[in-house]
Amino acid sequence: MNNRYVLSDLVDALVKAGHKRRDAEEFARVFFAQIEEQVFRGDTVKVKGLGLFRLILSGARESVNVNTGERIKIDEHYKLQFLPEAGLKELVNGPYAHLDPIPLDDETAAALAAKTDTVADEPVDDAQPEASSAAAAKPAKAVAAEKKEPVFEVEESQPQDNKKSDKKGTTIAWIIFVLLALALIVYALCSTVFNGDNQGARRARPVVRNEVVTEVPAATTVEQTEAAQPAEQTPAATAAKPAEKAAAAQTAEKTPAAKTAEKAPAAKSAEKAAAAQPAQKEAEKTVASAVDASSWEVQQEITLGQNERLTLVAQKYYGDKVYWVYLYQANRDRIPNPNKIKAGTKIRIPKAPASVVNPKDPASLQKAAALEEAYIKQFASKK
Amino acid sequence: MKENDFLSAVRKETGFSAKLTEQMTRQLVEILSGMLAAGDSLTIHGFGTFELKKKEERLSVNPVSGKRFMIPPKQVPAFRPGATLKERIKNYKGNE
Repeated sequence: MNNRYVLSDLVDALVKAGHKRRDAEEFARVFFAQIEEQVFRGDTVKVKGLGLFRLILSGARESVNVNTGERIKIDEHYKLQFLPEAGLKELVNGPYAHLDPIPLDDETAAALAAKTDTVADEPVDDAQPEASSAAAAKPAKAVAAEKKEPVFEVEESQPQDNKKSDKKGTTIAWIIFVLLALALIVYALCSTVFNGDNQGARRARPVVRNEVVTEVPAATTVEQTEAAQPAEQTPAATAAKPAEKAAAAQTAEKTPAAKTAEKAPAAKSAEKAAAAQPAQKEAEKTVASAVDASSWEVQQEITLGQNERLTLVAQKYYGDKVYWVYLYQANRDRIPNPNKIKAGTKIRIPKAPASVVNPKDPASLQKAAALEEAYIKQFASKK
Repeated sequence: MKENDFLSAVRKETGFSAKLTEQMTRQLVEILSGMLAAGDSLTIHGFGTFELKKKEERLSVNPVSGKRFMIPPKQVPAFRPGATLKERIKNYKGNE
């Protein structure tokens, strides 16, 4: 953190990667010199993975001398513009990647605009004083943990749930936490393909994450139970968000059952968890009734890297991204939530019968699209 | 200008093979992004500095709905030209 590297460090790294020192030196020197050369020739230089460099003309404008208050004219001049690529931006923004814009109501917005100096992180929720300080303290401790945060998701079904949070006292939070643990045990017992814990888990999730950091033994059990799912990697900082929001960001646990159970108060979650499980299974059955890719013969296995998505894999192997649903079906045991898949997850690519997967056949596309919709509903938060 | 054009310019200068140039470029980019992701900066003397910039959270308004949003803080990669390059840019009067 905050190391200042120079060219020779870069060269060292290239040498480490297996190049001759002389080559590495020459290359690094020429690389940057050429960016400069090309830019001054009036070209835009694009480097994959990095971004683009170009000179842009900045028009003449008036300004004031800050010391004398005198008006001065700034002539038009060129500026070197560096536009980082989206991938690099995403990579670099790791510690903050879990944050989403928060819609504000008019009052809070006005209040915030009024006090310009200290802007609370979470104005929407009043149960937040320590939470926002946690958020402020986040970058440092979040960096390490956040690196593991799953990076790719199915773009069609990015959940957004920005309902106002109902605040719970710490006591209730604890109860929820305990109940959640129960729910998880139930889940482990049933070991359904889908995560069975639902509404309770959903509500209590931020709380759990809080514990993950502060209280080791309990957190460990939780983590183990949830080994397959990425949610636990979000650091305590996430708990700083309004409860719903955090939960929405981590819909790993969301099931159709969660929808039905959702309106019930959170504290009752354990019974609900148990009760809701069959319902959820049923719902899943209807979803999967048409086709079930999990029974298809496995053609090959691939490991998902960063920035990969099921849709992209589907596009590559099946010819249309909508067929990601079958990939998901075939890998339900490894993918608790198609919106949040861990980098490094191995997935099976089943051999798809032409009758089901055929990008030229509108009926097959439609079928997949229907499935997709069902899954999106299943995993999306309700608005 | 496409990356290929740029790489061929680099190739011409160094005399390296296309494969080696491509490979080194990928590695260089990877190293650099790794540095940035770790919060470090890389200064190339005579060229400039690649660094991280922290953008504070801010209030924003959706122009269509008029709804206000709190935009969370973020980190962005940035490049700052060095003194030599700045001087050259200052004296640059356009390509034509």
